[in-house]
Amino acid sequence: MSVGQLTFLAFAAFTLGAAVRVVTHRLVFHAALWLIASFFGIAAVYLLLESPFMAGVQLFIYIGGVAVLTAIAVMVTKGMMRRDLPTMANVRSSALVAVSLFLVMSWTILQMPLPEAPASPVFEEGLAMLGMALVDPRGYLLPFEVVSLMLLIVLIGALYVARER
Amino acid sequence: MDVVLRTLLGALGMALVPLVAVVFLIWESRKVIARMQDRLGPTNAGTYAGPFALFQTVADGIKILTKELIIPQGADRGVFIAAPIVVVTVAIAVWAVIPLGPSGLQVVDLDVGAFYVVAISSLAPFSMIMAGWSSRNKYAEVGAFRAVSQIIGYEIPQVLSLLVPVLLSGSLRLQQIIQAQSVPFGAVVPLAALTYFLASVAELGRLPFELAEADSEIVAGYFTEYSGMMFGAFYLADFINNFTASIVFSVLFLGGWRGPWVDQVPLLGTFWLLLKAFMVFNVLVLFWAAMPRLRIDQVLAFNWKFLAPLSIATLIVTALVDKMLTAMAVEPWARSAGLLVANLLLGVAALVFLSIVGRRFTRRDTLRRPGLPTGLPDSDAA
Repeated sequence: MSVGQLTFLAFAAFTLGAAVRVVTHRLVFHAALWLIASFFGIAAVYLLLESPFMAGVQLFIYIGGVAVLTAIAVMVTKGMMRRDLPTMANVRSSALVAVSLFLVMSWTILQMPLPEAPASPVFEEGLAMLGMALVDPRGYLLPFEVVSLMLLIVLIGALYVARER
Repeated sequence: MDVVLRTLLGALGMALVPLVAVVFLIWESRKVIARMQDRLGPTNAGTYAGPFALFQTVADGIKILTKELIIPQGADRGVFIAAPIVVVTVAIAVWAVIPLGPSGLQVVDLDVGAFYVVAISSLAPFSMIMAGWSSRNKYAEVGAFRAVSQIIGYEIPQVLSLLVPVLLSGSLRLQQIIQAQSVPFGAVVPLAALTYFLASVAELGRLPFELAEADSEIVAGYFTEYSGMMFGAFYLADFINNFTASIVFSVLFLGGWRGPWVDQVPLLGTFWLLLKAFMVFNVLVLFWAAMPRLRIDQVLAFNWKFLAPLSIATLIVTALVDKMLTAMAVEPWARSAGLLVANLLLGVAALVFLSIVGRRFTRRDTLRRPGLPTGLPDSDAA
């Protein structure tokens, strides 16, 4: 096994271990922290794939944005500082949901044809091409603009919800 | 394996740069602030701190290492101990992409270097949340909330005005941004430089944006409960972040390592960069010594109602003017001059707009509450 494979295995194990802790930990705040650790592992895997841009996006959006908001939401939740933890209810039904979701997702992933040859090496202009494709009418201009419109609607909606009456 | 070894050694060396620099910077800022306040600051009288008390920081460091680490009984132990580790790691991680010289004097020249800086600094609020939550202290928690709302808000003008040098150089690679600055971007797009600087002052939590650790209101904010070297870690990270922000500002807007005679002696580039960063750092120190502290609603309103819209306008105007001038195929100096004029016009427009709005608010406030001193308008935060 090469150094790269060993590193990948280490980070993959770290990511999965952290993900397991997210769902098994009883303190919600700790679960949020483990979620961040798992995001970190994914960012490291992106770096191993020689895609620093995706790693940066992972850090910026998932840890800087999503995870911080999650942690704040947990912090302002009532009774989050309590030590007496609620017992887990509905273990069976939640297990059913989780297992079926896992089956559906792994079936979908296995259906996808995987490339036989190793992926093409990352070339210098990859980032510029990604940017061009996003604003090219023959590329992804329409989805890009639709997403920006949706974000605008979300912003206006948030202002409407939060305004003082 | 040779590459791996070289990268590791480079990373170690680069991580030592901020740690060593900070020892000097802490001494220097203490001296400057003392002079501003008509004091002497650290002196060598009666101590062994060397000439001008140069080694006072070393002595303080040794003292703080010997202090007891007190962990509050109710604290969340693991997270409480992890928070200072995370804060220093994040502060040093940025240095991986800092170009200290023309070539070689950088650990990695990432093609998304500028984005990496932003992504790493977006992790800072997370360490504050960890510290604030695990302390189980109301002051700490209020400090964490303030820090997070402030940092998340000011990230927007910071990133938007960082996009202006990226737009002008056509690259996120820090070396390429420096190469493109035959005229420093600070002289081409001064408005973007100003918004970036103000936003990074707020990100650093330096006065007048020092809400997260406002000592007259919430003791010390998110690190109220920390003692000994764990407090030292927060203090260290604070100074490293200040110095890093100065260096990043110098790279983006002051031409980085560019300067006279760098072509002949590449090492001189490091000197120029450190000199520029040192001057920016001293502006921060003067802010620290001279500024009053704003209220949290004023800080947030200043961002959402002024700085963020202004940085959006700067980005749009710069992009349009740059595109037009490039289409007209003008000389490089004419392009810089055109951008400078556009920036100055936008700055004047922003000031005029601010004075009109300010006057209206003042009039409304005096009508509503006669006798109120007419100063900053009350923020009617949404």
